[in-house]
Amino acid sequence: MRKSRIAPTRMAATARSLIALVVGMTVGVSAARGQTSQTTLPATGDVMRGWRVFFEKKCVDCHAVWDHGGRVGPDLGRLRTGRLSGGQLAGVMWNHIPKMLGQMQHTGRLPTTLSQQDMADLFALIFFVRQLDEPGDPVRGEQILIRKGCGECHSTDSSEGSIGPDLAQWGKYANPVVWAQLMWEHAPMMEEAMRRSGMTWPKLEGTDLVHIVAYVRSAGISGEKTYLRPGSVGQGLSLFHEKKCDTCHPGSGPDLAASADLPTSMSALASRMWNHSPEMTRVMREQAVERQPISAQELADILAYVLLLGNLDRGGDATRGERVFAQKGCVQCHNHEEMAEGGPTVQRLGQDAAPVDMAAAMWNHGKTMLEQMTEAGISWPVFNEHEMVDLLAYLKTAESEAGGTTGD
Amino acid sequence: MKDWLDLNRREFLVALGAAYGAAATGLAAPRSRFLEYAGDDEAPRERFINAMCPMCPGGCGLKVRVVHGCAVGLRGNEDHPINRGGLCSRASAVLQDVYNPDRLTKPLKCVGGRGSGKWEEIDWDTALGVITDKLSTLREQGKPHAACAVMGRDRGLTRAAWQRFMRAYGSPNMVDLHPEDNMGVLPAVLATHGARQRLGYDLAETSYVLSFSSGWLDEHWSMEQAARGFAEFRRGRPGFRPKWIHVEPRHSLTATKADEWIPIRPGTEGTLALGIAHVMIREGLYDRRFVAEHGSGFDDWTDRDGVSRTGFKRMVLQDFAPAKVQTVTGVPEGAVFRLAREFSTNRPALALGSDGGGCGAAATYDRMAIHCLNALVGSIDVPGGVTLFRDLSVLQADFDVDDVASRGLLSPPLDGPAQKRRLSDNAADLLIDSLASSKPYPTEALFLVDADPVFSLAEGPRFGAAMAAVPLVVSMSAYHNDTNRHADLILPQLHALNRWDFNTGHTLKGHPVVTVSNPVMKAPPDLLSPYDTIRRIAAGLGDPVASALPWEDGQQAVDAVCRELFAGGKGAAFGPANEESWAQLLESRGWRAPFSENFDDFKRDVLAGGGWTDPIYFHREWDRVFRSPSGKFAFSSAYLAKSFEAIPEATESAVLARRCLPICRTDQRRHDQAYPLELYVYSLPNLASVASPNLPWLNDIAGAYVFEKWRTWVEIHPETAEHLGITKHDQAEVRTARGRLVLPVKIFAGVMPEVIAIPFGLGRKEGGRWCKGIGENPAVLVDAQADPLTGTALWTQTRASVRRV
Repeated sequence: MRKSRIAPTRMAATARSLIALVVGMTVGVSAARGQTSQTTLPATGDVMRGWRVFFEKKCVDCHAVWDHGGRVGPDLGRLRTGRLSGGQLAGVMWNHIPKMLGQMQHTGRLPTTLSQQDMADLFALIFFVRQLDEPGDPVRGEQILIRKGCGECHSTDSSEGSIGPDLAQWGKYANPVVWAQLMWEHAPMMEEAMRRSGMTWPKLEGTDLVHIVAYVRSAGISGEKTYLRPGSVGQGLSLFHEKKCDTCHPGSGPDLAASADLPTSMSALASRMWNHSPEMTRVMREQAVERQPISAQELADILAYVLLLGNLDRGGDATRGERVFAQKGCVQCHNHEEMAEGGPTVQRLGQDAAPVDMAAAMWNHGKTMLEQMTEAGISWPVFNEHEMVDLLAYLKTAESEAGGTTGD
Repeated sequence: MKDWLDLNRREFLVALGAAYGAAATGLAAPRSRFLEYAGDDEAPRERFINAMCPMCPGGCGLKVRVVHGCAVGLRGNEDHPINRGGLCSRASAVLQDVYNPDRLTKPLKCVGGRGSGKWEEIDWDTALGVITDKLSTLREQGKPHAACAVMGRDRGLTRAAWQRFMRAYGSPNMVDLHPEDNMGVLPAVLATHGARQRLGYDLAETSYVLSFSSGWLDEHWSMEQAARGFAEFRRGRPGFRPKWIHVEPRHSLTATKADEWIPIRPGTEGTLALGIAHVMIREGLYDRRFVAEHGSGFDDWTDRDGVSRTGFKRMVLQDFAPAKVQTVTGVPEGAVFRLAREFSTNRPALALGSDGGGCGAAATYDRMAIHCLNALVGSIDVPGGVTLFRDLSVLQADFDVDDVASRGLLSPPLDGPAQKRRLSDNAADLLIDSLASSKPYPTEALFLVDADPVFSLAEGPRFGAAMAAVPLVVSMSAYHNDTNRHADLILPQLHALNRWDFNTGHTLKGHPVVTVSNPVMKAPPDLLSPYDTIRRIAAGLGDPVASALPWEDGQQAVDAVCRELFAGGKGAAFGPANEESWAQLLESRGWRAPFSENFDDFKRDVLAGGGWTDPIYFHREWDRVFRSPSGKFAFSSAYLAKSFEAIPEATESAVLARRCLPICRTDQRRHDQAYPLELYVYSLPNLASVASPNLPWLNDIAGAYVFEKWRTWVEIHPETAEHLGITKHDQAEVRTARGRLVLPVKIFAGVMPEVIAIPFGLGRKEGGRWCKGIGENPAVLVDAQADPLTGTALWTQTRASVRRV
C-alpha cells in the first residue's frame, strides 16, 4: 500500500490547524443552571489521519464522504441528521455490523483490522465531515432568496440602487462562515433598516444558507475565492471567552453544550446565529455587552468549538445500562465470570468502555461474534439512541467496581 | 533472466543498447552514444525519478526507473492527475527516443549550400556567435521584428523562454506551427464566449456524447487523459450505460469504441450540427431557460442603425432542415431527427468537435455550430457539460522593454493580416506568403524551434522554397527533418529526460495542472537544453534582452515556477488520490488546509510528487465563462461583430452580420467528372503529432487496428473499389488538382462510399533510419483552403480520382 507523502511533522501541523480533537483535552463548560462542570472531550483522533485510514483500510470502497467514495454503505457526511455523540456513533456501528459484514461477504471483501487509534481517527473524521455542508444548489438558492425577500434590499447582478450591498460581490466567498461573519458584522444596521422599512427578520432554515451561497457564487463575480482554515477547537474555546460569548452563553442564554437541538453543521449554526440576531442584539443591549468584532476565521474557530460540544456524551445511566445489558441478551455471552464458550467478562469489556474503544473492539471481533451468535441461535441486538451510552456507563461502572483491571 | 540490477556496468550498457536498438525492430542497431554519458552515474543502483512525458502537449507524469544512472524503464506517475499512473503508446516509446542513435549530438553548419544535405560539425560558441551577430545587427538597424520563431510542440520552459525572449528582443513574430495541439477549439470559444480558453469535457458525469470527427481516442492533445476520460464515461457509473455517437467520414479508433458510427461527408460536420439544432428548436427540445438567461443572438436582433438582423434560430430554421442536411452531409434525414431527440432528452449531453491533434483543422464555423449544441442543451459550465479552463500561466510576469523592442512589437505580424485570422493569434500557413514575398517586410532571421513545417503544413514544400529568401535560418531540432534541409544551422536539443522542465495543462474537468520534471540522467556534455540555448543567445545580446531570462538554468526556472504557485496560495502538490479528494472536499465548501506550511516544504512536495494541481472547479461562474460583450453565450458572435467593425471588410453590413453566425455548408458538392471522389486525410494515431517519428515502436503500431504498418495506404470502400475495378492487392494512383501518389490499396468498409481516406504521418524525406523515405505524405494531394476566421489551412475540401496501376 502506498504511503501518504505527508511527513509526520506536516501531519502534526495540519492536525493543529484542523479540528484538534486533542487527547485528554478538558474544557470547562457550564451546566444548565450556571453550575460549572468539567467535560472531557470524547475523541482522541486526528481528522487527517482519519481520512488516510478511510482510504487505506478500504472504507472508501463502500462508503463515501460527501460523494467521494463508494455507494454501497451510507455516505458518512450524510450519516444522520441531528446530534450524534461518540456513544451514539458506536451504537450505530454496532447495529449495522451484520449488514456491513454481509455486504462485504457479498462483494468479496475481507474486514480489515482497525486499531483503537484508527477508530479514533475515523470518529474524528466523521464528526468533522458532518460539520461540512452540501455544496449547495444554486437553483434552490435563488428560490430561497426570492422567498425570503432578500431581493428587497440586495441585488445579485451587480446592478446599482439596492439598499444593502450587492450580493454579487460576495460571489468570491465560497464559505458560509464568511457570510455569517459578514452578516454578524452588519446585523445591527440591517435590523435598523428593516425596522424602518417595516420588514420582518427573515429566518433561515436547515441548509438555506449553503444554497444561497451557491446561487450568489454562480450569479456573481468569479474572481479568486476566499478560503478559511478549518476551525481550531482550542482557538475557538479561547475566543469564546475572549469575545465574551460566555457572557450570554450560558450566562443568561441557553447552555450550548446541553442544547438538544444544537445544529450539526457550520452553515446551520451560522443560520442559527442569523435567526437569533435581533434577539441577541436586544439582550446584549440590555446587558450592556458590546458587540465584539469577529473575523471570519475567528468565527470558524468558535463554531468548531461549539459544534464539538454537540459530540459530547451526556453521561449514560449505569442502572439503565445494566438493564439494557440484560434485556438485549448480552449476558448470554458476557458475564462476571469467564465462560467456556463465551466472550470477555463484563469487567474486561469495561476496559473498552469508551465509545471509540468499544467501536474498535466490535469491529475487530464482530465477525467472530456474529458467527458464534448465529451458531447459538442468538439474534443480533439493536441499540437505540441512548442504550449504547447507558450500556457503556454500566460497563465502566462494573469495571471500576471490580478494581480497575481484570484479565490479562 | 537477469534483472538490470544483476548486471555489472559493462554488461548493463551492452544489454541496454541491445534492448532499445535491436529488440524493438528486429534489426541490428548500433549502441547509442547517449548511453555512455548517462551510464556514468555509479551512485545509487536503482532509483525512480519523476519526469514528464515529452511526446505530446498533455504533459503526463512519468516515473523513470534509473539503474546505474541510465533510464531503463517507465511507468506512469500514479499521483499525476492527468494520467493517474497510465501511459499511452506514445509514452511507451520515450526510451527509444532518449537512446535513439540518430539523435544529433553537435551543432551543424550547412556547407554545401541549402538543400545539399552537407553538414559540418561546429562548436556551440561558433554557432551561437553567428546567431547573436545577426540578431544584434537587426536590433541596431531597428528591425527586431524581422526575426521570426516558428514553434513546435514544446509547451513548457522552452515556450515560456521564447515568449519572454521575443518580447524583450522586440519581435511580434512567434508563430505556433501546431495551434491545433493545444487549442483546437479555441477560435470557436473566442467567437461564442469571448474568451481565449480551451474547453474541458466532463465525460465522467455526462449521459450522452455526440462526437463530430473529434479524434478523441485517435489523436487527442492528451491521449492518456482522453482514454481515461472515456473509461470513466463508460465504467464510472455501475448500472448506467451512457451513449457515445461518433460522426466521421471514417470508422476511426474512436468510432470502434462508440455505440454507433454515423458516416458523414468530409467537412460537413457543422451542417449536421445545425440540422440537429433545427430539430431541437422546431420541436422545442432546447433548454429555453439557459438560452433566455445566458444566450444572445438566438432570436433576431436589431443593430445600432435600427436594422433587423437574422438570429441563430431563424437561420437554422430556414437553411438547415434535415432533408436538406441529408443532401449535404450524406446523413439520412431520419438519423438527424433521432440524434436531435436523443441529444435533447439524455442530459447532461455533450457535443464534441475536434479538440486538437491531427492534421489540419476543422473549419471554425463548423466548430461554432457544434458548440452551439452544447448551449442549446444547457451543457455549458455545469457538471457533465463543457467547462472553460481557468487561467493558468507561469513565468509570464510582465516586464519593461526598451524603445527598440516597443517599436518592433508594434510591427504587423508576418503570419498574415488580421482580416485573414480574426479569431487566431497564429497562422503558420499564412507565414508562407510573407516569407516568399518579403511583405509586409523581409524576414531576416528564421528560427524553427522543434518545428518541421515543410512536412507538417499542407503547403510545406512552398514553405521550404520560401525559406530561400531568409538570410539566416536556424533549426533547433533533435533529429534531421524535412525543414532542416533549408537551414543554415542546426542546433541539437537535449532530451527532456536530461533536463529541468515544466508543463502547464488542465484535466478534463478543468483543474489546472503544472507538471515539473527533474533530469533523470546525466546530460551528454556537448548538448545544451533549449532553455540554455536561448539564454546564451540572450546573454550574447546583452541587456535588456538578457535580463528577460534571469534564471541561470532550468532548475532555477522551475524554482521560480514553484514560487509563483506557492504565492498563489491555492491547490497542492500531487499526492495520493485521497489527498486530492481531501482538497476537493474542503475547497468546494470554502475551506483550505494546505499541506505545505512554507515554501521549502511546498517545493519539496511539488518535486517529490511531480507537480501541482488545484483540484477544484466552481461551476456557473458566468462572468468568467462568458466574456463576450453581452456577458452571454453568443449564438451570433459579438466578438466577430466587433472585429468586423474594427477591421472592416468591403462587404455589406447585412452580410457581415450573417457572418457572425455559424455559417456551414448548405450546398451539395457538385459532381466533378475529373475528380469524382472526396479525399479524407486523417491522422495516423501515434505518428502524426509526435515530435519525432523516428521511433520503431510507434511505426509498428500506428496502423495496427487496420493491420497496416511501415507504409502509407489508401482506403477505399468496397462498393467504390468494385466500381473502379480495384481489388485489395492493387496499387492505385490517387490524383488531385495538386498532385499524385501511388499507394497500396486497402479495401475498407470503414470509409464512406465515394470517399477515400489516406493516413497522415509518414513520408518524410529526411530524418532517422526509422522514418526517412518510409511511406508517403498525403499533404502533396491536399487542395487546402484557408479558414476565413483563422487563416489555418483546411484539409477537407479536396476532390480526387483513383485508378488502378
